[in-house]
Amino acid sequence: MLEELYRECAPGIIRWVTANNGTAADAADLFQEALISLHHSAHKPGYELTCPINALIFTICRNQWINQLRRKKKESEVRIVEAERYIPESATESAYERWEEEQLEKEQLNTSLAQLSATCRDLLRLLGRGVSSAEAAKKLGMTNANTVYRRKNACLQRWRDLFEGMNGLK
Amino acid sequence: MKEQDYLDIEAYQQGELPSDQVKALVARVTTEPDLAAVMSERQLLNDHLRATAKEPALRETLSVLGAKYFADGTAPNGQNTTATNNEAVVKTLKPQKKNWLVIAASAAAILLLFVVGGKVFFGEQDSTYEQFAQHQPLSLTERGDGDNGITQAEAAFNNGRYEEAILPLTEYVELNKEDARARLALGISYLETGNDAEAIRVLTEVAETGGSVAPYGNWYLALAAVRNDDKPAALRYLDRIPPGDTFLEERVTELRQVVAE
Repeated sequence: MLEELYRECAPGIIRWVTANNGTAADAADLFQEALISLHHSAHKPGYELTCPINALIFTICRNQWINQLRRKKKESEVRIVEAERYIPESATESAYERWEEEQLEKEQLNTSLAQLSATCRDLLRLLGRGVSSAEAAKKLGMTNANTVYRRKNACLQRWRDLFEGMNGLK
Repeated sequence: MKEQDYLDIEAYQQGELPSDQVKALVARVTTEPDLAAVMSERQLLNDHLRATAKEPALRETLSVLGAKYFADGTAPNGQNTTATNNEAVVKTLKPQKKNWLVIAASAAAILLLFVVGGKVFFGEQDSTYEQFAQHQPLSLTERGDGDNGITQAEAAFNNGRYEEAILPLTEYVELNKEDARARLALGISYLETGNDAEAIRVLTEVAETGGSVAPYGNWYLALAAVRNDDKPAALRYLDRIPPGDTFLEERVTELRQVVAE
């Protein structure tokens, strides 16, 4: 599946990026980051792809490259690529808009998690990797699984306050 | 909400809440908005943590594929894919950019940090498990039953939301005892949520069916053993997998080598 995506998408993305002042390495970076971001999206409850994945990946890569040029203040070059910007299908456009929202949410999650204590971060990282609570208790020197649940709950109460501050949760 | 509610949610999301309590909790979610909101928030975070945990292994795979398909703008078939006659190209714009050797080295460094970190924080066996635990998608709906529980199980499993998949898969397997693929998915879900005891019980049933799915039962039993650092058991399970399955054959050889190191 992944290899098929590379085989199908790489030529078009390389062609577009190198036509717009980038290199094959830039194209590779963009493509990899697009797939990583979609990997995160796919872990969200109820996630469904609502447009062809190739079109969504291309749109992500293209817009991310335009943003990179803009950040580097290469205004004239941005104008060139903007002029050549193609309008995606509406399904791809709305999938891209949702992807942008997911990126924002991911950033907020990372920012709020980074503000937790090292113990909380270690515990959450461990549990996120699928380690059982009993095993986590052993690794972190806690009494048993119940202690892990209590500690995790305390961490998540703190996380919620931080995330709420950024995201307006009630 | 009481403190016990929060602890039950944690146990549930870890896949460690007993099945009778799971049913009670899931039933409460439909009638208690506060409970549903907390479940939803924590699910969001857990999904994010799980995706993040899998990212290093994915980056490694993508780096290899990137080196193959993006190297020097030349596709693997030799076709040049870079633009050659576009007047809009401004050569001076080219940013200082790392080449693929550097990218590969960076990916290797990330992986190395992950593995070295793994030895300190998680155990080397966990990263080996992550490396080999690539699951084939589940397709129950193709078997002709449009029940929502089945669709939910399939969607949850295929999107890596294993704790969410456990309940509908358990119910499906109870009604379709002969469906070894669904039973395998249930075993994988237990494995992914850290409930090794249940995973081993279910996967052993799969391994003992004797059908085409049986080798996958042994494969996942081997992975469970690897994660628990029980190398002799892992090798025993690998020995029970006959050659001939295209998905498993190469993986079995590679895992055997890793275990033997």
